[in-house]
Amino acid sequence: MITSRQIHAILKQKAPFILVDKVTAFEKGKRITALKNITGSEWFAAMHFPENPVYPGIFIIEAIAQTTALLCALSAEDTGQLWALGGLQRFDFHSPAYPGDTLILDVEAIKLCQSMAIVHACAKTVDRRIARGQLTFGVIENAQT
Amino acid sequence: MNCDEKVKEIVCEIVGVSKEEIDPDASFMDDMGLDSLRALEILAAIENAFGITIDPQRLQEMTTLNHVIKLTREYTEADQ
Repeated sequence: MITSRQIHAILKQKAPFILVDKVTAFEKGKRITALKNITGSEWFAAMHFPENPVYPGIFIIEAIAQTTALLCALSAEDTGQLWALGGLQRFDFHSPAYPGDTLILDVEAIKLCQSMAIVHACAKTVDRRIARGQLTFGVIENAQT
Repeated sequence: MNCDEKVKEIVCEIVGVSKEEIDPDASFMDDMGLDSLRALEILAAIENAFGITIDPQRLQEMTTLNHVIKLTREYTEADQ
């Protein structure tokens, strides 16, 4: 199982911008499932929106991107690479996510190469589909983080 | 729809050019401004449409529509 410490070590982002809490399933080169608990104490809640906190859609995309980075890094056995989001294709939001929700982030590799990847991703809660679509990723060479 | 037409349809959808307008010998990168990720997207769509698996090393050959058609033919004919 992938521990929280490993997640923090692999991802180049730092808290509070690490949007993956736990990896619950991983199949090398094929798929990964991660969880993100959305809480009302996160900084977005006071601003987006004050009367009705909604988890920003861009954060959902980022959570999927971080989950994909974990899949790519762990599959390539080179956790030093910086995987960056290159594009979204046919990506749709279906329902808002709120504080109290746990996002289940399912990412399945369509094509995973040494330095590029295409994945299909679905973000959902236990009872709602939040977003889904196809995303492309590439390794940034000589990245400075 | 034959193999070549199907490849053309897939490529046109991804590069955002109509079937009537696309130059089969125009370079995806130099003439159409595509990057390597779009090329990978084309490769994945071709694999899905034809039920084949293309070696990612061949990605560098997929520089024009005609090259993609040639590569797809090679894999689909090898499959038969």
